[in-house]
Amino acid sequence: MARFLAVANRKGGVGKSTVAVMLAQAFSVWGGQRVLLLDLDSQCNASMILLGGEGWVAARGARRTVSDYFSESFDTNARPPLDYLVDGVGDVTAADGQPPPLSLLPGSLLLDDVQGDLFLAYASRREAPDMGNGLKTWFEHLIRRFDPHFDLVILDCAPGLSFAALAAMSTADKVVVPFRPDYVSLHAVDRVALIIEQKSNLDELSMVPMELRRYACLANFVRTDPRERLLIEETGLAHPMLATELPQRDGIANAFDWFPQRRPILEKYGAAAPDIRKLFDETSKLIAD
Amino acid sequence: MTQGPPDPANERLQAFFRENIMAEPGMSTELADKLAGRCVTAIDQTLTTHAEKSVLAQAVPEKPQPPSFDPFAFSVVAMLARLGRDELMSRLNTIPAIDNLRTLALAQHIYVDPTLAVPDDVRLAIVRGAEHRIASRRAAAS
Repeated sequence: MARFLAVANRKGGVGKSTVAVMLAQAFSVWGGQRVLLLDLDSQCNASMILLGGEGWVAARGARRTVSDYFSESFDTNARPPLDYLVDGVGDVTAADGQPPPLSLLPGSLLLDDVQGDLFLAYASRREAPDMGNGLKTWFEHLIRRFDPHFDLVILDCAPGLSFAALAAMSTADKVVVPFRPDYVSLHAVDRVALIIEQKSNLDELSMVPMELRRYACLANFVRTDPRERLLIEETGLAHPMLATELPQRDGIANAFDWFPQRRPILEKYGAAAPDIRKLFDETSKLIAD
Repeated sequence: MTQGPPDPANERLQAFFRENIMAEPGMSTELADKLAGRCVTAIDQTLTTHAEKSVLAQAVPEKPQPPSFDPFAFSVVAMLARLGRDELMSRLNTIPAIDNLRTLALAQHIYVDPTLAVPDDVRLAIVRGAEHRIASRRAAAS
């Protein structure tokens, strides 16, 4: 039975896709798990990182994207879920030198439009009073269909609150919330936490013990600025925090360039590899709870 | 030839060389001064601009200074949220200088009325500013 791990934040630019890719590669290589990454962001960053531009175009040509999966599943001519996936993605090797068991449901530029179309189609078929919630529930069902085939399903959410992102956050056993240590991100973390825990305000949220929360926050792009240290501490007043912090490193962005030659994960991530290992170890414990 | 005012960069270099030459066993003060002066003159002739000499003088390690005030030593917001108003005020009372209190407030983005002139008033303003920040966050997340 798969575990579902969402990487989410309403705010953009906090490193959701890069963290999702790091975790997907770490769990498939170091954890030896069968990992599926669902790219639910119409920016398709995770897909670009794992497939490269040409690979992503090929996936689109073969109608293997999240938009194809969602829209065709709404009709009666849907293919089996596994037909929408691209297997053996990424540019790292497992310990045996072979591609790790990492699959991808590629993202689609059309995902936002498709969600709008599906909402209208859903509304025309049903007379349910809460159509938005119905569509979200249906997306949850589509996400869960991958359950028997993988050990871990990572859901790379788009910023904002799409039906797909809401479905991902409600489906997930755990949610990792990357954030930048700045004032605006502090408020963004508060808001996404309320959605995940389905609470109306911070006072209600505070009634949920930290150890029972479904999410944990990950400070990303951390520099040595002491002001950032205070903001991380301030964020942690209301939320569970991962002990792991990902520092802002020169060159880390280069690790996410598409590279056609597979290489060991330590080589790919270079100086950042110990940070990613630490994140993997801590996230392993998080999703095991 | 007229002699200009003493060059601060040269004076620092002279002191640096003198101190190190004097570390030699049996070295007299007079000889140390002489050798230090020669070193400075040689450097002076080599480096033509004041900027170059200043850079070199700044590279001379300074004697240890008393620790400066760290405005990030603790978070006033976190301390207020975790330990309460009285604890925060007690902690602020350990900072006697009003300038340091202001530095702390500015560094931690806590507004303090610039016309306040009494340390106790500044401390109270910091506590109130931290309370306001927490209230503001709570309001935004609702």
